[in-house]
This record gives sequence, structure tokens and C-alpha cells, in this order.
Amino acid sequence: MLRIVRLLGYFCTVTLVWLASLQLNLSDSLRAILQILPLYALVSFGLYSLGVIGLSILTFPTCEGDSLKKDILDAETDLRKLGVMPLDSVRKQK
Amino acid sequence: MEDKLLGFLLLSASSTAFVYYTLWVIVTPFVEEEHYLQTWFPDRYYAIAIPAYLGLLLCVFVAGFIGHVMLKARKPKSC
Repeated sequence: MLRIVRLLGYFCTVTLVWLASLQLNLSDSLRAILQILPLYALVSFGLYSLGVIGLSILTFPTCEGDSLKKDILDAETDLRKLGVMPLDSVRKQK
Repeated sequence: MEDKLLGFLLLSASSTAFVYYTLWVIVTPFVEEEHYLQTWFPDRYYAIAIPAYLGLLLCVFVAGFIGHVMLKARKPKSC
């Protein structure tokens, strides 16, 4: 089964459950919450996505110190020795 | 360093917004009127109006951006 078919299946099930629960005779406050649930789910999903992005930015892995620069220079000398990189190319210092 | 600050601000802002919105939508209907908690939240009409308006703004910006890019990518008529 395609992933999209499975996803549509889940979506339709949830929609049907929500519509069925609206037919019940519930108290006013419960009905109010039920009616706003789809919008609430959409807003929560958007906020959750923003939060995950913020968390990823916060915990982005970085190399400590100059180990990365040293690795780049070592790789360049190796490549020059092998003849892959031209001998006169100079790295532009950022 | 500023990146981490940005990430932290984004994370805390979205968490705060989520807690506030959840309280607004799900808790306030069960709290009777004139309770002190109700003073923290405006009318529930805005719990629907503000996300709808922001969503509309997002669509406007996306459409405008697409239009702007398409205008920029026009090639001048060669004579």
C-alpha cells in the first residue's frame, strides 16, 4: 500500500470519529471544544514544527576549535601531493 | 552564538504560545465566568480569528513572493 493511501486512511478515520462525536448530545463547553479541535490541531502542528526547528538550531553540532580548519589544510596538502589539486591554488581566507 | 540564541528564542516562543493557546481553547470553557483566570484570555472568538487572520497573511505573503519572483524573472523582449 502506498504511503499516501495509508495517510489518507488515517486522516479519514480521524475525520469520521470527529464528525460522529459531534452528533452526540454533549454539554455546551465540550461541544465548543470539539468544534474548534481541527483548528487547534492545525495551530498546534504549526507551533510544534517551529519548536522543532528552534530546537535543531539550538543543538546544531559544531566542531570545537580549529580541528576542522586543520583537517581542511591536511586534505589540501594530500590532494596536491596526489596531483588532483593544482599546486598553485591558494585558499582564500574568510 | 547568535544562532543558538535565535533557536532558543524560537523554541521558547513556540512553547509559550502552545501552552497559552491550549489553556485558551481547552481550559477556559470549563472555567465559569467571573473567575480570575478569565482575565488572562480575551473572548474565544479571537482564538479562531487570530490564527485564521495569520494564516491568511501567510497565504498573501506566499502569493506575493511568488508574483515578485515571477516579475523579476521576465526576460526583456529582444528586438
